[in-house]
Amino acid sequence: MKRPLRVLVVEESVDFAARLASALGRDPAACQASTVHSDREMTDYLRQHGKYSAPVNAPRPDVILLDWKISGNRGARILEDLKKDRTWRTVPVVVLVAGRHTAEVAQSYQHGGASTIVRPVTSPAMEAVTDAFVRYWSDVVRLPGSGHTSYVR
Amino acid sequence: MNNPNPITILVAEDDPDDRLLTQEALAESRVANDLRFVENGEELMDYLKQRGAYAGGVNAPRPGLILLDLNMPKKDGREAIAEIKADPGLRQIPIIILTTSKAEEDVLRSYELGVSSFITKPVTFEGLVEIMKALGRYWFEIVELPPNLTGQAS
Repeated sequence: MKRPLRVLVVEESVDFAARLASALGRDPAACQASTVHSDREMTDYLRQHGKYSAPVNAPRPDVILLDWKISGNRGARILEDLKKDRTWRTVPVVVLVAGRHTAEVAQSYQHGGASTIVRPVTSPAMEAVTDAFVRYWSDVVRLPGSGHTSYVR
Repeated sequence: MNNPNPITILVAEDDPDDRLLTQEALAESRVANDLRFVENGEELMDYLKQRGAYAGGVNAPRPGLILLDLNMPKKDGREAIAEIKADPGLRQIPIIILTTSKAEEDVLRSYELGVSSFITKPVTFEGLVEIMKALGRYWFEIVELPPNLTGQAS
């Protein structure tokens, strides 16, 4: 049996992060999401510092979901730093942007984002997005060292 | 999906049987995209850079997504990924590895090179259809693909 997909939600709005994490973790056997709300908190989480010094509180994420506008529009910088870091560069980063047809979409791919999703606002959109997200990253894709075995039977 | 301007999917795969299977699985899963095929890494780069047989962009619409086999003749998948990701005009295009490999080394190396996803092909056609359905739903219904920057390929 494979373990649940681990997602780190890096999202400034505490409310929105909680909604996302709860929708992602609807089936805890499929996905478990943690949330951080600033670039500094993300760094603490990834380095297991501060309140994340107990490794059990900061499991290594399989996928990072990154709010592009976090911490004063620092998404691009955060993404670049992750992609330069040998420990983290193999972790796919999915970027959350405010809207379609925005400069952010192009920038997110340019800086090494794995894919880009428009922030789901309504409840049906939230459900559709998180459902397809979990299904894709957990059942279809093979991630480094995650023990995810995809569909091969 | 009734999209008047379907997003082009470019499939790089050297094995003709595998090309056909991918095409049929995408059709079966109702991913109604404009599908294009190239047979090796060199042809892939010619397509993307609109050179050689693709000079002037003839039959080479810019893809919204690349499905790439790792092991191809002439220029293999790894070299092609490195080249695409080093090109500011091309690096935005998401690359999905579609391979029979399950080797952890291939998985790690591919993500290190900057692919968006690594998918190990299932052994059955039904499995492949399931994969294509979930892939289509994620990439074409949920994800916002990079805007088409036709003419900016360097």
